[in-house]
Amino acid sequence: MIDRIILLVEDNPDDQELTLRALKLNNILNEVVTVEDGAEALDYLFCEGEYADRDPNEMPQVVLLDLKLPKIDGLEVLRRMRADERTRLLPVVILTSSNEERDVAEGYGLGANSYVRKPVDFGEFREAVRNLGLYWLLLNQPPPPKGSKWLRSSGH
Amino acid sequence: MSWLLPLSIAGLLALAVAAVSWIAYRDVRGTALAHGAERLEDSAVQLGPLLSSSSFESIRAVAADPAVLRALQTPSSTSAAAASAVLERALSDSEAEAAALWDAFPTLVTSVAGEPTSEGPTPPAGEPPSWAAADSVSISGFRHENGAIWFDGAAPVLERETLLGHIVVTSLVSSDSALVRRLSDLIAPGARFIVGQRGGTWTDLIGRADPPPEEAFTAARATPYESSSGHQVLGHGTPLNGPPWLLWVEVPVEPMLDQAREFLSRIIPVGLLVVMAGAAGGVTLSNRINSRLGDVRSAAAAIAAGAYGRRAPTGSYAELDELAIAFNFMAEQVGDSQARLEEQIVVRTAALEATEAEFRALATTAPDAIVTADADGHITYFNPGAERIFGLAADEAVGQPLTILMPDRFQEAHERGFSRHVREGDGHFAANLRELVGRRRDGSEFPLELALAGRRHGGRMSFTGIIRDITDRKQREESVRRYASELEAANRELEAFSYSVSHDLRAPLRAIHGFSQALAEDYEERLDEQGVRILGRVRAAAERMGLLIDDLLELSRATRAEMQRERIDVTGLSRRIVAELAATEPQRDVEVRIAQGLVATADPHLLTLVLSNLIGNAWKFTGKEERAIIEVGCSEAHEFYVRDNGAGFDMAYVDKLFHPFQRLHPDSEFTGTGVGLALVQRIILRHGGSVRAEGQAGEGAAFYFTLPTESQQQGRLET
Repeated sequence: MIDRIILLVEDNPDDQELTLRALKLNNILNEVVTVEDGAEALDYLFCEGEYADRDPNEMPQVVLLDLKLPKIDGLEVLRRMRADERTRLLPVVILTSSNEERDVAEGYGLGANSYVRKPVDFGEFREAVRNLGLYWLLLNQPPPPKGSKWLRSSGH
Repeated sequence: MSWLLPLSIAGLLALAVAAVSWIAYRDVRGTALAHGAERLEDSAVQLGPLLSSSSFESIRAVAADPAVLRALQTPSSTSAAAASAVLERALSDSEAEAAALWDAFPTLVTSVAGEPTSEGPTPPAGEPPSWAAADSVSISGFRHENGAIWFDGAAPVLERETLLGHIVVTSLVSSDSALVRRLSDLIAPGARFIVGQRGGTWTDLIGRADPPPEEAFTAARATPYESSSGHQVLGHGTPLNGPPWLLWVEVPVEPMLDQAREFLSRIIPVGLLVVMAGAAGGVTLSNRINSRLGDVRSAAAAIAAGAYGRRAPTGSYAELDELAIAFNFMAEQVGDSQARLEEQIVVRTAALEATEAEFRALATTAPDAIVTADADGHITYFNPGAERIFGLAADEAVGQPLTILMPDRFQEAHERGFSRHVREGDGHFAANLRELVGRRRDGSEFPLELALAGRRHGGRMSFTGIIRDITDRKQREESVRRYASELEAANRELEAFSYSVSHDLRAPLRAIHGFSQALAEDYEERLDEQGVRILGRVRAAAERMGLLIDDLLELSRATRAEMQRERIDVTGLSRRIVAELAATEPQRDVEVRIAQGLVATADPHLLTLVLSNLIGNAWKFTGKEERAIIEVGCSEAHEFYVRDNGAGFDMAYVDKLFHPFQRLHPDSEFTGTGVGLALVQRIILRHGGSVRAEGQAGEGAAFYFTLPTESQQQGRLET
């Protein structure tokens, strides 16, 4: 099985680097596409704007989504993803500093698959990322991709 | 027959009335006389000393003069002349008119006479003083000579108790007639007093007076008799102290009987009325008896004609007695109830006046406006409070329509409402509060609160309104509303702040922590031991800051979060918390005593925070104890407590305990951020409870808190 893309939606370069480092230290070698705000994330997912010529069949295996983002915030990105047939079942892990109850509740309410609060302690963060990778990248059977994938799997 | 009965009744009544009146008159008269006599006796006794205070004692000094003694021891013309000179000197010093010296035989040794008085020449002391006592000053009776009344006073001349003779001075009885009259009037109008000796000469102190009748002297009390002037008088005498005289007082009886006469003049018309009423009653009675007799007669005639069944109506003259008894009884009852009624009226009038005064004082001093109006909506009363609130004097307001107290735009609505009250208000309706707008005299408007009560009195409605100017209250309400919205805005801001703190403050910390770790890992071979240690401290500081931020957020959330009160099993909750703690440090041996059946009503999340912090503290601070004990319970006073035998604290710092980030132990001994107890206090205060701490350094600590809502459900559950 080819390692599929992880979409990291994160505006803070420190957090970007630390997340990448945590992934690397956990031997998660999937390609990571990093986008810095909510608009860019939606462009990537729906192959628009800058990402208009991307292959729409190549959907990320998991989206690591920060909540506090420039332009369009994380919860809005999640809402639009769930509203769209193409991304309705895509696993989304909310990765945020906030542990405000309303964010957690709203996140799950909008269909987040997981909610991880980024701890200050990098050791803990690394452990959390390891568990995420283990579950979402190795154990979890992702939903079939739109159209072709479904046809392909039913055909074999 | 028809006139005989009334006439005889009237006659009998007239006799009875006359007899009763006469007896009553006698009584009244007797009482008046007795009263007069008593007064008379009193005045006689009081007048006595007034008259006896004379200066007779002064002649005792003359009798002791050596010249007088010598004239009697060695009689000669020279010694007599010397004695004369002494006598003359004595006369000029006294009120006496003449003086004489008698020897013991008695023969006249010498005599002197003063100036002739207005009454005439002084009569010589012609008689030897046979009446004079041998050992004391004595006074003679009155003499009537030369048209005047005189009397003599004598003093014995003694040498070693041997009587040598007497000095005799003669005085004129005369007094100012006006003074005498005034004295008399003091006793009673028309009274007269006289002085004299029984069987001797009497004087009224002006001239000679007729003596009282002989029989009056023997009476012990005041006696009535006819005076010399022909008037009926009461007379009484009393001996004077000193002179051998009686003071006799006469008072005319007539004025004393005025009372009795007045009584008569009143009772006679009443008697006449009674007689006339009796006569009228007699006529009625006679007619009735006649008619009854007529009944009997006609009954008899009917029987004679053969109608044997006929009977005369029964009845007899005994009815008259019964009638009289019933009438008397009724009269008595009427009298009694009239008296009772009058008494009640007096009592109730007084009570009513007191109540009225109280209410008037109340209305006058009340800070609220009290306004009454009649059914036409015209003001009938306007208290000082109303004057102040509306800026309108009572005499300007009374008689005016109520509409002057409100802005024009409300007047139509007022009149509709008012006429509905007048129409529908049956008796009285309960006072209800409403908020309206009032108008002052100067036209300015103000919000008011009106309590209105109506009452139907004698078919007319009247209204009482108590009006309060609520301008201040409105302003307060407005500012409370403003504060509330400001507070709400501030809270929203705080919430936004906390939210961004939780995001933005933690991100750099994560970077610090993460990159120092990256540095330590990636450049391990280039860092010496000191470099690794320093990076470790950087990470530790970042972690600690992360904890502080988390606690701060928790504190802010505990203050802001909505509370949902539920009944909570405190015993079970405490056990779960202890179990979690024990799981983190399974090696520790802690004796935990949690009371059975503890129940509270509180927000479950917040109470969990409280107990986690308190039990967590107890767990932490007993970490160095050999035999750690933690107790959770509830006192008799419904105070929950968490007690331990751990490190405790010094009571001197108890005030710091509940302040955020205040710690009483160094982090090297016990870790912590110092937010836990601040959080506990904030949560308990939000529940309306209170929290306090007791402790002693090295001996343990106890934290008490109450959750007062539904206190009856709180504390130990009795099972």
